[in-house]
Amino acid sequence: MKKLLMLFVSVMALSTLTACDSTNSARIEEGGDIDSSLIDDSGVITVDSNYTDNYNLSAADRQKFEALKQDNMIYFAYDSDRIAPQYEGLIQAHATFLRNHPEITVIIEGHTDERGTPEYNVALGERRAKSVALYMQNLGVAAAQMSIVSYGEEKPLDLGMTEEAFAKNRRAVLSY
Amino acid sequence: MKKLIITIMLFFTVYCFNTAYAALELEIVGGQDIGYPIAVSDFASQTNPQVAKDLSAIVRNDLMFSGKFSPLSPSRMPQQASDRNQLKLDLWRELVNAVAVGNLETVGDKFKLTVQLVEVAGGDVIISKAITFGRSQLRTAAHTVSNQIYEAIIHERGAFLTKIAYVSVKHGQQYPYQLVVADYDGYNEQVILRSREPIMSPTWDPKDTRIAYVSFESRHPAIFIQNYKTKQRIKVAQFNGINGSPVFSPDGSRMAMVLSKDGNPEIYVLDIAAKTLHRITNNRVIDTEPSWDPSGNYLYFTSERGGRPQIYRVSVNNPNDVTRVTWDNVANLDPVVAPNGRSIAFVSRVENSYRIATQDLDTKYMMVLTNNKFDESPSFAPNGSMIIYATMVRGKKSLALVSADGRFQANLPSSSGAVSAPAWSPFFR
Repeated sequence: MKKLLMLFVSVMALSTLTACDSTNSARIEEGGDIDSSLIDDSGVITVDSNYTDNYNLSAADRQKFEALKQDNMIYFAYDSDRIAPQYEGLIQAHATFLRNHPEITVIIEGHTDERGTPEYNVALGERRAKSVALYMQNLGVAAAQMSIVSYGEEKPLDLGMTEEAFAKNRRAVLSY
Repeated sequence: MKKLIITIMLFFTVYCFNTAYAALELEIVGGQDIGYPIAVSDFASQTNPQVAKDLSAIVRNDLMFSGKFSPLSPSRMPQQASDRNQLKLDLWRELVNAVAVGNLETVGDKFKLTVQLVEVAGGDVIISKAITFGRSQLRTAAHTVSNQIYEAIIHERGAFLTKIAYVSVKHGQQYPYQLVVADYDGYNEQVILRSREPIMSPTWDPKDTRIAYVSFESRHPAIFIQNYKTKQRIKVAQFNGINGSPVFSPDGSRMAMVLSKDGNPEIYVLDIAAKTLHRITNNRVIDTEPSWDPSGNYLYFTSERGGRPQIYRVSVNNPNDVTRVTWDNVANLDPVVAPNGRSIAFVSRVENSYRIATQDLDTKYMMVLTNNKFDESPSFAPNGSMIIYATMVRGKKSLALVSADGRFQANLPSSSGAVSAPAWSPFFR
């Protein structure tokens, strides 16, 4: 039988948005050679991502939380990181919940459409994520509850190559 | 020029090579008849005629793939020959400049292939070689012959024994994101990493079999170095924000990368052994996509400092020494320096299309090579002859090739999944 041993990577410690890591040395894992048990019979390294939430919430709060997880996308105009007025209510709802639950953390994802180069799009996507994070911070969400990640064009919602598909992909996602 | 569309599905013709599987197929879309006219006659064999024939087909394919040769189709060959003495040169003179002939024998449990390359005009034997190889090394043997022919005619090193790394995405699978290493022609695909989360920007150590890449497996990006042979893997960067665009210095000792830990995307250089990080750029706009020049003294990179993204050069030892490199077109991004250091390839935005372009670094002469809409991620072959890049072929992310002069163009449509972020390996010793 095929042995499938997986590397469960813990979600990295979430830290403040205002980057304060100004040390001049990179963090490099000592002895970071991968354990041979992580390699399956075919020699492939498989990395898994394990992130179900373990928050202890009341039934009512759990219901509210699950509903927020379903309504978590902010779409952007081409080449823009400006939050359109129709998303203010959505962000407000998430911000209120986060203010009431300081133990909950959110990852704000930034995404772009397929046009342009992948790494440049990562830089552009980060602007969208930061724009949402700043908005949430202004609504009173603690910086320590938020982290941002930009995927650029790597995780499109719509795989089409039409203007309509591109518009769906230019987004920020509030991800728990 | 006549545009030919020829789809070559080699995995039907070389069915006997059961260890080789190509998920990429070559589809020539331009420049098929502009190269050095050559014939690679079907190699002969008393014992294994099909293997011999398959070997000659791989050599023909390599030479065509290089963009520098126009191999004659076997159906147009005037005679069959297995060595120089059987060749009737008069029959070939109108057709080609040189003919390769070969004979395959069995020696114990190994094969021995004898190949001669004959110049048609004077009848000179340009190459006469014999190579012995195991039964699992057929493609390696054929690529070795291709390198010898390429070097004899073109007078530069052939890149037929190199590899490409790329990212394959198959939505709907448990691990949609895979990092793949394959022969340069798409055969012998080997998945070296698979993940539920995106993998980006693979890049080779010019001195080793190591590949650096970005993985989002922890839900935040991190830069890893993985040896594709030993499978050893180390994490070299996981700071707050972006950890992207890794690229090894020419001697493999340092790595340029993009981090946004200090506020916005900036270029840093990591000394891999000493584990020290040096900041190279410092301004309020995006700086990204670094590429080393062969001296290791300069980085070419994309910056928004002039408004729209354009390409700049910075001195690694004196980061205040910055010069703007590109001036044409709306935007120019993602430079890669040619192996000889004399030009860069990059993505140029022409109106609303993103196309592969080159610029001569001395004359500043810029040339747009492709005519597509969604080109990205150019990477030079180690001999500088070809650029592999990602594009859309019939609505699907695929790889494509263009010769450095733009004349030869071929698509490599994937038979499964979306394929992007190609990185051509160095020559291996």
